[in-house]
This record gives sequence, C-alpha cells and structure tokens, in this order.
Amino acid sequence: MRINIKRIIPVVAISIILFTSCKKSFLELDPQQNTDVSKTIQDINGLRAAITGIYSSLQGVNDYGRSVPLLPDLMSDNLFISVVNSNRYQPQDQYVTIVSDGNASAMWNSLYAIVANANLVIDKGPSAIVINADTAEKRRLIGEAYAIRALTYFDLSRFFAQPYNFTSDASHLGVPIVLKTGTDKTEIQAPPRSSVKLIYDQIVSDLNSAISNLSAATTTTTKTKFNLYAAQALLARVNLYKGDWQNTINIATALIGANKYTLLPRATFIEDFKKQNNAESVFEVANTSTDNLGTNALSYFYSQSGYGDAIATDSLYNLYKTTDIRRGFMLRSRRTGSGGENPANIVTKYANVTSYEENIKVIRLAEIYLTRAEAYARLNMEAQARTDLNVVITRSDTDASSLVNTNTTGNALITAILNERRKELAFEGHRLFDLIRNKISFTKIRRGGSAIAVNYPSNKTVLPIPQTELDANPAIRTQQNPGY
Amino acid sequence: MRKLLSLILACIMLVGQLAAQNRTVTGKITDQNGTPIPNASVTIKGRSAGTTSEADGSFTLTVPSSTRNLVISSVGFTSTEASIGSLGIVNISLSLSNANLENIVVTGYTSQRKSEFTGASAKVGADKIDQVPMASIDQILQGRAPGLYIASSSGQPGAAAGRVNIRGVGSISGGTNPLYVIDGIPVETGVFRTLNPNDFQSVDVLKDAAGTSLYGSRGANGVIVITTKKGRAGKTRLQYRAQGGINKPVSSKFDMMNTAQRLQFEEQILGPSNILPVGNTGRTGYPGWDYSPSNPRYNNLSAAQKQSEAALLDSIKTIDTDWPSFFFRDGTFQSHEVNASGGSDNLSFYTSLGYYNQEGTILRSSLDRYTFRANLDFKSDRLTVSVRSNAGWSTSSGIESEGGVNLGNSIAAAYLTLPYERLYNTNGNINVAAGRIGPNAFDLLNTTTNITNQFKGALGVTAILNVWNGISLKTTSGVDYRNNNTSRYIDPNSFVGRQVARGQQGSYNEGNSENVQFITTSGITFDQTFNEKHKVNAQALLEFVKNKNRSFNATGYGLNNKLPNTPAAIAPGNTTNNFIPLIGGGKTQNAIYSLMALANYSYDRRYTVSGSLRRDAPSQVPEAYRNNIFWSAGASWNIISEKFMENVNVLQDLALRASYGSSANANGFTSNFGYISSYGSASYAGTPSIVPASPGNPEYKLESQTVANIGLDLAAWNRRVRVTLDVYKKQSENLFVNQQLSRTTGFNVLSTNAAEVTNKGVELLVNVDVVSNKNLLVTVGGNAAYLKNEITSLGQLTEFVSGTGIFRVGLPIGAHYTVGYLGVDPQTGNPIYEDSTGKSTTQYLASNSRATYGTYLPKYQGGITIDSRYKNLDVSVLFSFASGVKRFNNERFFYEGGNNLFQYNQAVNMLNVWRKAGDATNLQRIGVGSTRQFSSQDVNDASFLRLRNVNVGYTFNFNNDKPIRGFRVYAQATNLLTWTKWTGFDPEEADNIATYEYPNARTYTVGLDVNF
Repeated sequence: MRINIKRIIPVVAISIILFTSCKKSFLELDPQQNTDVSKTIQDINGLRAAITGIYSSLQGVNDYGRSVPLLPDLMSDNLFISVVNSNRYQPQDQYVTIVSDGNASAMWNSLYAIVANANLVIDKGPSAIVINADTAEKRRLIGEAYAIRALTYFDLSRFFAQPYNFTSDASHLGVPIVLKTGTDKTEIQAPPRSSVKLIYDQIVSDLNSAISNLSAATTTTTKTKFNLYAAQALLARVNLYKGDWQNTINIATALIGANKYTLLPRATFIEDFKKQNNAESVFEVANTSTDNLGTNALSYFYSQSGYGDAIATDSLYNLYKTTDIRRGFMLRSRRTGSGGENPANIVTKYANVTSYEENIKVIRLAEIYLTRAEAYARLNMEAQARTDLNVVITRSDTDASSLVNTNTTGNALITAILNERRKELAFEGHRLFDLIRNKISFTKIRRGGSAIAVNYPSNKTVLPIPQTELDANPAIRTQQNPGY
Repeated sequence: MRKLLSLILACIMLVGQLAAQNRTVTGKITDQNGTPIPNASVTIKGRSAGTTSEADGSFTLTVPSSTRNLVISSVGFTSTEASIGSLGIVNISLSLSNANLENIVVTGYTSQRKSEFTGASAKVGADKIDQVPMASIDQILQGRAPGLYIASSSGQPGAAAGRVNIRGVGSISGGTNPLYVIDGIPVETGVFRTLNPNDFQSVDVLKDAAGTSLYGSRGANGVIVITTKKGRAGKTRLQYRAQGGINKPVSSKFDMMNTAQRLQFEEQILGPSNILPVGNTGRTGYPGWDYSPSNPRYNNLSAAQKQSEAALLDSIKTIDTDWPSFFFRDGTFQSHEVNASGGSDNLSFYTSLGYYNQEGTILRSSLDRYTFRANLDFKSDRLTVSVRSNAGWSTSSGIESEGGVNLGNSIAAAYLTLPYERLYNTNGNINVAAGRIGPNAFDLLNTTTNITNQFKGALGVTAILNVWNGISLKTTSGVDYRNNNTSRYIDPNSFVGRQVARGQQGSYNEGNSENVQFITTSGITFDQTFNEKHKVNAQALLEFVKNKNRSFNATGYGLNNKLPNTPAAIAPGNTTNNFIPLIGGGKTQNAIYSLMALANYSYDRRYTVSGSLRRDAPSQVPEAYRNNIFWSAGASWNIISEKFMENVNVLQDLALRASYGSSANANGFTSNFGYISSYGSASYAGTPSIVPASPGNPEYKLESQTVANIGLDLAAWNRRVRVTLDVYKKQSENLFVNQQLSRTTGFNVLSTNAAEVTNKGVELLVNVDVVSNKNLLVTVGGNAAYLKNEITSLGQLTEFVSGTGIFRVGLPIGAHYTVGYLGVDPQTGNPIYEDSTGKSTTQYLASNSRATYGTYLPKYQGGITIDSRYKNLDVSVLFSFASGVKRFNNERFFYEGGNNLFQYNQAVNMLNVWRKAGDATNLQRIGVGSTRQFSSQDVNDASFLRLRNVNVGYTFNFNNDKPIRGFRVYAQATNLLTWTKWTGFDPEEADNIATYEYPNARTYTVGLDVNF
C-alpha cells in the first residue's frame, strides 16, 4: 500500500489556510448599542456628544432636576413637606437623615457620575483630533467640562461637608477628589476624603481652566450651557463661600461690567423668570417638552396638580411686603388632598406640569449683585454694598421705604443682604448654605408649625457619606461625618 | 504528517488475516412489512468483521465454515441473531425498535455507541416526541430524561418552557439555558414554536464533560442535541397524520367568593371591622355593608329608604357573575401533517409539511403554525452530503399582561373581580369604567391585539469527503434564522384607547426582531478500526460561530377612528397634538472562533478512553481573556465484555464510565460587550448626546465550570431490567456577581467574576420489562434526579437580597428570604411573626427576614413511564414530578389580602378570618392596623406529581401490496391529573414567584396516522 501524497497535500493545505485565516477580524466586533469609551472622544463630534451628555446628567432628579435646588430650601426655613405628601424627602424635612438615606446616596452617586463623565472629557478631550476650524470649539467644550466639574465638586462639598470657614484653615473633611475615570483599584476605587481647602482649590483651579478655555472661543449664547460669564459667576460664588471678599468683588465687577445680562423688569419678572434663556439668566439647566423629568420634575413637586408636597413657610411668605412682586412666586391657597393645609403657600416659581418647559435657574444676575454686596459689606465698603443691594430691591419692590440707606450699617447691613438673598433666591437652592456659611443658627419649620432649632454648627446640616460608599470604599470607612 | 501516515500505515500492515476455510452466506433483510432494508450491518457473532446490505436488502458475506450465527442490525431496528442454515441462505425480517437507536449517542460532533461513550447522556426517541399536542419541543421533554428539569411558565399555545436546567443552576446572574443544536447547527434558545417536533428523530441530552466540553465555552449549561429524521433507501413511504381535540382550563385550587359570600363578607367582616366607612358618608360602593341593617346609618333612614335599599340589595343578590367563565374557554386543537421519505442507494430524502392550530384556554390566545422540512442525503463512494432544511411560519395571539401582577391580566381579572359586578350593562355593552376590573380586562381582549408572527428557518449542509483510508475532510455549515413581527393595536374608540397617554386616541405598534446565527465547522476526521480491536476516532476542527440580533419597533398615535386596524390610521405627531410616534430598537452581535481536537479510542469494545481539547475565543470577553482552553478526559470499561463475565448469565450489560472536563457559559452573557467601558445615549435640550453607560471591566472573563461524573450502565435478566446511574459534581467558578464600587468611579456596581456555585447530584434511570412476551410487553420506567445546589462564594459579599429571595454563601440559589409567620394570636387576632432568632413577636420587621424557607429549585425531579403493548394495542403513560420545591405565592397575597386588598374579590376561606377572642384561625383579623404582610405563610410547597401524558393507540398493518400499508388510531390526554399541596393555579412554573401566570391546559386529543 502506498500513501498517495498528492492527495494529502491539498488536504493539509486547505487545513492550514482554514486554521489561520481571518481569525482576528472575525472577533473584532464593536458594540452596536453603545459606544466604546476609548473610541468615542476622538473627534469634535464625539466631544460635542460627550459634553452634551454631561449636561443631560445635570438634569437628573438627584441633581439640578430636583434635589439640588430643593434641599437647601427644605432643610432651612423656606420650605416644609405638607401633611399630605408622597413620602419624599421626609428625613430631610424632619432632620432625621440616616446613613442609608436614599436621597443622600442618590445625590452622591449622581454627582460623582457627573464628575466621572467630566473627567473623561477633560482627560481625553485634548487629544481629540479636529480640523483647524474646530480648534476653538474644542477648547470651549473642554472648558465647559472643567466648569461642570467645578460646579459638581462645589455641590458635593456644600451638601456633604461643613462650610469652608468651619475650621479656620478649612482643614476639615471635604469629599474625595477624583480626576480620572476608570475602575483602577486604588486611585479611583478607594479615594479618601480630601480637606475642604483642597476641594476649593480644585474648584478654583477648574474654574480658572474653564475661564481660560472658554475665553478663547466664541461664546455660546444659549444659557443652558456654560460660557465664560457663567464660569466667572460661579467663581464669584465660590469665592464668596470661601470668604475671599476681594476676589469676589473683582470677578463680580468684571462680570457686571461686561454688560451681557440685565435684570428682568418688575412688571414682567414673574412670567419672564420662567422663560427659557431670559435676559437675567446666566446659567440654567434645560427642561423641554420632550426632555424633562415628568413626575420627577421640580415643578411636579410644587404644583398642586402634581405631588405638591413642598410648601413655603409663613415666615418666608410674610417676609415679602405686599408691594413686593416676588410674593407672586407663591400662591396663598389650599393644599390639595383631604386634610391638606389651608391656607398654604403654594410655590409657583416652578409650576409647569404640562409641558415642563421651565429651565432650572442655577445662576442669574440678581445673585451676582447680592454676592458683590455681601463682599463689599464684609470689606466695610458699605456704600457700594447698599447700592448693589438696592438694585435688587428696587427691581421688585415699589415701596421706596424698602430700600436701605446709610442707617443700615455693620451687621444690620449683612443681615439685610442675607434677607434679600433669601427673598430673591428662594426655591433656587441657596438658603441653607447662606445660613451656615455665615454661622447663623435658625429654626427649621415643619408642618403644623412644629419647629426644630438648628444651632450652628450642626452635624445635621451636612448629609451623611452614604453607607454604600462606606461599604465599597475602605479608605473612606472611618471618615463619616460626625453625628451619623 | 508524513510520519503520522507512516505510523498509520505500519499499524495497518500489522493487520494479519488468518487464512481459514470459508463459505459464502447470502440473504435478504427486510422490515416487518417486507420492505428491503439497505445498509444493514451483517456481522459474524462475536466478531466485528462483516458487511452491509445492498439497496434491495441483499447481502453476501464470506464467513469461516465454523460460523453458526450472524448478527444483523440496522439503525431503527432490533438487532437480531440469525442462524446460518445448511444452504447458506439467511432471509430475515427485522422488527422496528428504538432500543438500538438508544445505543447511539449523538453529540453533534460525533456519533458513538453508548458502550463506547464515556460520558453521561440521556436520549429521548421520536416515539416520545411525536404526537404530543404541544408546539414547543422543550415542553415535550419534561420528565423524559434524568437530570433535565423543565418547567413551564405559561400555558399560552406555543410558549417555550420557562426553565430548562440540566443538572441544576451554575450561574448567579447569567443565562442558565442549555445550548440547543439541531443537526450540528446551534439554534436560538427558547424559540421552538415554529419547529415541528414530529420531524425529530431523537434528542440527546449531554450532561457531563464528555459531551459538553466538546462545546467548550458554550457547554456549561449542558447541550441538547436534536437529530431530525432522514430517509432510508427503499420504497417511498408516505404518511398522513392528523390530530384533533380540545384544551380545557384546569380548575383553580382555591374558591373565590360568590355573591352571597361576598355580601356576607362585607356585612359581617369588612363593615364591623371599621374597614368600610360608616355613618354619614353614606354609600361607599360595598352594598353588603352599605345596605346592611347593622350599618349605623341604617337607623337614620326613613322607612321608605329602608325599603328601597332592601330592594336594591335584593337585586344585587340576583347577580352572581362567574368571571372565570368569561375569560376561560375550551380551546380547540388540530394538527395535520404529510410526510414522505425514501430514496435509493445514493440519495434519500425526508420531507414533511405540517399544520398546527391550537386555541388557548384563555380568550384570544392561539397559535397557528405551518412548517416544512426537507432533508436530503447524498452518498457516493467518496463523498457524503447531507442537507437539512426547514422553514416555518407561525402566528400567535396572546392575552393581556401575561404573568404580570396587573388587573389587565386576564387571569388576575377573572379571579379578583367582585361577583356582583356585571360584564354587560343594561344596553348590552361591556360595562367599562375606571376601576371596573373584569369588564375592563375583558374589553381589553376585544379592543386590542397582541400578535407575534414568527418566521423561522434553518439550513445546514454537512459534507464529508473520504480522502484516504479513514481520513476524511468534513465541513458543516449552516444558518439559523428567526424573525418575529409583533403588532399591537389599541382601538381608538375603546375605553383603553381613550386612556393612551399620548393623545388618548389609541395606538398602533409594529415591531420586528431578528436573530441570525451562522456556523461553520471544518476539519479532518480520522475513523478507523485496526486489527478488529483498536477503534480510533479523531477529529481536528476549526469553527466559526457568529450571532446577530436586532430589533426595531415603532408606535404611532392619534389613530383615525374611522379606519380599521392599520398603520394608515396613524396621525402625524407634533408637540401640540401629542401624537409623537415612539421609535425604539437595538442591535447586538457576538462571535466565537474555535479550534478543537477530539479523540476516542476503544480497545476490543472493552476499554474506551476519550479526550477533547478546545480553544475558544469568544468576542464577549476582552482580548486578554480570549485564549480559553477547555478539555475533557473520559474512560469507560465495558465490564460485560471481559472474560470473567462470560459465566455471569444474569447480566447482559455492565459498564463503568468516568469523565472530567471543563466548559464555560458564553451563552449566558447578559451583554455582548459587558467588558467595554461604554457610552449610551441621552439627550439634552433636544440635542442627542452620550453618557457613560457601563464602567467596563478589563478583567471580564467567561463563567467557567468543571464537571466530574461517574456512571454505571447495567442490564440484567435478558435485558428486562436496564439501569443507568450517574453521580456528578459540577463546580462553577468566575460567576458574575455585582460587587460594590466606590461611587466616585461614576458607577454603583461592577459585574465581576467573583462567585462560585457547586451542583452535586445523583441521577437514576430504570426501565423494567415487567411482562415481555410475543403479545404483551409492559415496561415500567422511572427517572429521578437529586440535586444539591450551593453557593460557595460571592466574592467580596457574603450575601445579597434580590426581590423576595437571597443569595447567600452556603445556601442554594433561589432561597426565599422573608419574615417567619407563626399564625394568629387567638386572643387579639393579630399575626405572630418570628424575629431574627426565631422567637415570636407581634412586630413585623423586614429586617427579621430569614432564609430558612427553601428554594424554588427542586431537590428531586423526574418522571415515571409505563409503556405497554398488547398485540397491536399500545398504551403509554408519563408522570412527571418535582419535590423539595418552594415558591412564593403572590396570588394568595391578593385573594387573602384582607385589609390591604378587600376591594378585590377574596377567597372563600376569608370568611374564616379571626373575629373574636378565642377564634382559632390562620387568617389574621381584618381591621385598622392589621396589615397583611408578605411572610413565610406565602412561601408554599410547590412539589407536584402530574399525570403528564396518556396515550392509547391501536395499529393496523396490512399486506405490503395494498395502497394503504397500515394506520394507527390513538387517543391521548395531557396534564390529566396533578397532585400537589400548592394552592395557586399551577405548581409547575419556572420562577420563584407565582404572579397569575397562564396555567397549563388539560388537553384531550384523538389522532390518526395513515401509512401509504
């Protein structure tokens, strides 16, 4: 018997061809539903989509969609949860938040998701390859990512740490700083809390990066995105929180001097406030008829056609004179549902529960005036402080006696400015922080008029580091906020 | 290669032929009807030398003159011994049998004699599959194979089984379905309704490494290998099969209140317990209490008012709506099939055309199916080509909210609607309105549609080229394709149509989803027997598998109410009219590239060793983890063939098997790109955008598994007792489980290969021919499997709660987790619970939940069969059972809802709730503060024994020359009886919780098969 080698050769050849061919390309599949992160931010389109995505996360219910603008008013003296309620934000209303609190952990998760998202853009954006015509836009987009990261760290620090001046050198615990995104075991998965000083340094540094990138590029006119002025406005607020008065004044002055924004006139303030991109707004988070939170929207939480749970306190309502147009952001009416408060101060600042077309105001010009007024007052430049304060008062109140004059000085002036902040920025997420950064004790009013005395410093004005974070992150396990 | 060939050559040279005195035997082999059987094997008894018969059944064989007997065998027939007459002519007719087929294990890559297979497998033959009035093959397999646990989750015609587990569950969060392979082509799991089970010749269930390791990364959940029928050379056979019957709803194991009982419940229990308002609020909608003289408001009524209310109550008492009777029905069943098979030496065919129609036991549910199959086999001296093709189309109409805790669910509505409500109002229209459960659910069935049209086709070609002396080139290529077209119409004129969120004017939806899978397996095979004793089979193969899945659906709104059910009725949408259409869909894909080598060596039919080595590169893991090696090794010892067994006459078969090997669960990935850090879509102020969707895991691996198996096969007393026993240990590792991530990563959890699960078990298959003679054969069989499933690691966690269950190290998968319930305090009527240490407490605290209430994975399951034949009359019976299984009875929470859910009709036993001190009852008082909680009283024993199938038939055989060769008439019933303690609808459901699933029907059919 002979081996017919001629028959075997083609068999072997075919086998070799088959066994070695096209294996690699066969397995190189790309996801069709999602985009691989490493292959996304490579060009201007990827960068645009990614930055828009970060804004879209700001809309979330645990961020500017509801919790961030709501909680500072609820946890202070502006809002309380009605006796008729959907069982939302009760622990914050009652000052009994615990470590496993859902609102606190959801906010923590949501804010850090934005940080991680911004990190990706800041990390990968600079190496994106774009044509010359797009280089300015590329810088602007990266600038926006820096601004959003600064805003988010600012919010994390405000909600989860004591104010900057809690210790003289701000060495108390802030939140973990993470500047890279991934699942790296130590650097990213187990970061400890940084000091508040380091957080604010990071925020200022991010805002400076934002400002330098944003100033290089054509500024977008839409207020639903960060532009140069929005970044400056935020920096002014950050400096105010830090107590860096001179810088606050400098930045605010530059911003006001740029003349890009005007206060809405008294006559149309109430209705124009709700309008998208109004002349006074510096930065706002979009809500449109096709892109909104529906029943999770802030407006749904106020509207008596929605949950209608949060009701303004009488102490706030009574603060406004009858001549003050801003009283129109509330409606003295009845809380829907059997046993509901009557009368009740129904909040109407955000009220659209049909098309939801109300952007959440994050920064507007009136705040800049009040911020500068406060810094002036702290530096004993009281005349300038009074001027700024009166700009805001005049816009809303026709009663000339409401204006401050040279009789108001010193602490009284500071108090007047803070009162005006309360009136002007009610339901916009400022009140609690304005109180504690000024070390002011206050009374939290609950339904039925029951009161909780909150003395500064209080452990409970700060949300707990969520239990889930403590469980997953060994470096933070011993760093829980006191009182939790 | 050359060296190898030289070696092979050398071996062949060793084959010495001893010269001896020979003679020639000739003969003809036919079947019972006289049809010649080609390719039948004719061997000398005790030797492997022999020949095969020609197309006309004839054979010629040269045998040593000392030879007395020949052994004649052919696939599908009983192997028969024939003595050689003095003339040297042997004419013999073989009788049909499955006994021989049972001795071939088809793994998809190999076909081996069971005695030379080293692994554990089970076979289900065509006789057990044919004619069962169920559309989906997986449902038909229930109770048929030891270690194959199949549970139905729906009685919807055509529904696939809800759970198919081979040897327990080896994944925490991934898929646990086995891999299905039809004629070498892997097919989509769970999509069988458009395949005709009558086309299947056999189903092999591969349970251990010797079978599953051949499939490497996809074998971990076991493999179900289906072989379809093929033609045989000889006379063309034509068969017509028809079957018709009815599906009847099964009765529930609980009774709901009728009107008299409900009114009594309202008047004597709900009202006095202050659950229903009293006094000045007047009527509240519960007539039993509203119009009761015990209601305090009664005393304030005038005599006239009292009289008119009494009259009203009397008229309500006359209504006693039997709600289930509106939703349930007797459904018809019919099926028709024509099949033909035949062929010549070189070409044979099998083809069938089938029609299947089944109405479900709930209104509107049905399945209509048309199937076609054509199988061709071509054979020349060097080339064998087989083509397997099938195509089918089916349309299925479903009920509403199937399996959902939802008042639109027809089953929930049928039981929860109050008996004094009417379906029709006085105008004869359906009494729809907000809150009217029964009428709304009934109206829903009439004014909406829920239709899925399915096309399924598969095409496979296998070509084998004999190159030289047992060396062949082999290739199998194929495609499995499935397309679902779903449509849902909501009539704009209907009650539900006016509630459609977008535009309140109905909606029209169509969706399309498609799954296509390609495979090609090619390589070299070597199959040779040396020296009559050394049998070698070896293969080296290369395989590509690619799977693509995509879907797209669109819903239009604002339907023009003058137009019928058509997309033309959709109104263009804008933000003003709010008719904006909804569009959705998705697509994904995966691929596997594999290299493999298999080998099997048997010595003298006594000792067999087998091994496999396979390298799989699946696309679902990152490149660093694509080099996955799987292997198996097995050995079997056919003890009966040993010399020392020659005198052991009681035994006809005795073999020991052992195998060990590895595999993985690539089919169980929940995402094809789970390892990639990816962006998903979002939008901001109308601009589309992307947001991080998954954190990505660079250490994302396959869920892997090893199985060790030891088995014993035994046949005794002239094969009247046949036993197969297997013991196994299956260890699953690298199982995905969510591990907590620091939220600073932007994500909450990371799916990580961290968990481990062990499945250990024993499987027994026994068949006993209780009576076996020429006229009467009675075989009683049983198969049973014992399973011990245990989670041995969850990575960084020791436990995590999931729904009403818990995953905890040391417990089996599927453990229920709830608060212990001890009963009702006879003094107060309040429920008594257990605290976390088991002490009694009146407080219900979710934190007192314990995991001591069992699991939904049965500890024991299997089937019992009785097959008997008296002359031409045959009777076969199948019981299936599962025991040691607990399920959460969520239905009970509704019909014994008490305080929480009194607005729904309640079970009759709710009349026995605690009412006064001293009442001994297990039902807590109804009244303020007595909330009915989920507790261990809702975790109920779902063990069952079910008379699954009974078939009685009579076969007529005529002379071969008649136009009709024979026919068979039969009658059968499925799900005839069920013994269970379970109080819900159906104990046999796939998951942990009973949520008004569609109960399985009881089916009675009669059928006729005519052979032309």
